[in-house]
Amino acid sequence: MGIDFTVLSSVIAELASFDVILMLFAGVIGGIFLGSLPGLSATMGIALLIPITFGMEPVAALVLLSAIYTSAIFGGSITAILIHTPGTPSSAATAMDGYQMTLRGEGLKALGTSTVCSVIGGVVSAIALLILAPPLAQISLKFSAPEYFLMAVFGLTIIASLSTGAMIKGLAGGLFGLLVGLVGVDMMTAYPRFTFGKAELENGISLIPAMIGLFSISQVLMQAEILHSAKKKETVVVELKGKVFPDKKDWLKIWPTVTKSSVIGLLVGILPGAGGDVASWVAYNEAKRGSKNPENFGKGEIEGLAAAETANNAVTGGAMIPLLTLGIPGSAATAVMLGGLYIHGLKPGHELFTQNANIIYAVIIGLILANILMGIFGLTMARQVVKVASIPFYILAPVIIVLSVVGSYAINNNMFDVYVMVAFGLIGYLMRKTNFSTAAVVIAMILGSMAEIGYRQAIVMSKGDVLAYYFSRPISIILMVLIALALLTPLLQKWKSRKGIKV
Amino acid sequence: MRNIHLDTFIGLLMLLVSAYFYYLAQNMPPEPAEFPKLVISILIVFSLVIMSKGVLLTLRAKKNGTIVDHYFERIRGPMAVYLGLCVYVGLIELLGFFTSTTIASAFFMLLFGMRSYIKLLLVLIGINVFIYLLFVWQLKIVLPAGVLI
Repeated sequence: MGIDFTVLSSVIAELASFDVILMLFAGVIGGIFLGSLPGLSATMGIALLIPITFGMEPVAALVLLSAIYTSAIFGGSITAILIHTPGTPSSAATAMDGYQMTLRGEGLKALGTSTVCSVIGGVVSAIALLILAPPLAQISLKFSAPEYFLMAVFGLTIIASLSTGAMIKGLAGGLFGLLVGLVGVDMMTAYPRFTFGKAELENGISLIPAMIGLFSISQVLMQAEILHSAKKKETVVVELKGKVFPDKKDWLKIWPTVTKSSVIGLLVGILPGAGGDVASWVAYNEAKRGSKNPENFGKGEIEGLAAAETANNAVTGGAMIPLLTLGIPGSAATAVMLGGLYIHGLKPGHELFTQNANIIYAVIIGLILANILMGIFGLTMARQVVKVASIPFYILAPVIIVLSVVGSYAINNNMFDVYVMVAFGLIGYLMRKTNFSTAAVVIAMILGSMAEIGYRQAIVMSKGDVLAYYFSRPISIILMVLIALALLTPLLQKWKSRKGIKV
Repeated sequence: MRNIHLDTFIGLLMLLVSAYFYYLAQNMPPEPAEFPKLVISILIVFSLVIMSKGVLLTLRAKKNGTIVDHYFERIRGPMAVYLGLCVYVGLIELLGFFTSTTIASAFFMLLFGMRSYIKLLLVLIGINVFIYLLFVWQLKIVLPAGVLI
């Protein structure tokens, strides 16, 4: 199955509506500003905005969320280049060479390069999503209970394996998420599990309030920690001068890097749990490794800037491929977006590209448009973005807290969800302080029901011989090999580094 | 206590919570209890691994005469914010959403270092107007009303 061109006219009609255009602009501009604010991330922005999208049409809501996702990553780069303050973790590699270029009097050129590379990375990955997602969604048709169970396990193990230096904690975070997901009435027997007699818990712990707590409240608490200890830093904006766009010579130099980094970003995005930060560093290191002048990296090398900027935005479309085709989020931000899909009654997989094709194609094309708009606004708003980045946290903190409270309440119009958000805020903070992954908890909460139903149905289908049943199914074998690789690769790398073997 | 690695306590806490949930699962019928028991059993194993790692790191630090890592050196600020959040949420049903939001927002701004009362007033008006326009007027959400509004 390829792209369904018969829905093209309805896709255009969806995208041409006033609401969708408004949300596209709001998402791009809001995302750029949000990303530029140090300490605020795309994930947090999406988590806070999901309750607001509740009353919207699905296309407008999802276009808003995906525009915020891609633009926030780019927004973080503007402050990384101009004031050496990465707005998001994805822009940390950008700051290395981008700020050096600014100091050298090439700030405008750095911004121009960053903008064009981000647009290229974003558009390439969105086009890849458009082309690859429909046939990949068909694979889900070949999946039965054992494959769904193994797919959920694979999603969790790969997230854990990417939890830098803390694989056990990554896995434990995932198991905690599974446990949280088990609260509520059992779907197959209607038996209430871990509800402690509370009627509010019978439908389970609401995902959106839990996510708002884990990502937004925990971030406010983290910021509260550095507030009194950090010395006030004066923001110095270097005068911007010179040409906006790189010349032909620069283009010829960075073109191979841009191509390679687009592919790296796309592939890293597809891997569950690895976001823009991982992609930008991998692409940066690859560019350095392949460069004729590796010694210039970190000193204002345009290739380094291009690599990081292309890759971090190329992650966006890539991360949405497993999300839309199999319901496995490719990053923390897309895990939150999955919550957005669910509240609009959309289920990832083959159905999304057949029954809801007009919605999903409109969202994907909306993502391409968002990337292009991001480039236009990025260049025109850069100076204003830097001003917004200096908004003090004493204004942002109450805004985030109030939005978290009202957003959690608005999902079901009840205070219990607010209490859930408050509880998960503390859990999220403690987890982040002790190197546990909050993203693993959210992804496990999402994958929990898929894992359990798959596990229980597979036992019934196997008629007593579970192992033989799993090993009789080719896709199951592939998934088991992938799970083993996800678990063993970090251990092998650790062993090799201890032995001093170069990987 | 200060010389014990935090992972020891985290592992222990995880172990106690897991054991309690396993006990709850024991009282369930076999079918709905099967998957929870599997998840909790693996969690118990990981709790033990994390706890053992904490003990090993503590012993290593003692042997080398070094101080173990402490993640909670600067917890006072976050805890003040969290306490403020709990009081804020508690006040919503008592005083009403807008009144408690105004009090809580002013508290958080002052706590985070806002010193200009004019700015504080403007931000308070901005937050309340934004919430009213978006959630009450546009999304038709009925926000909790207490003694006040």
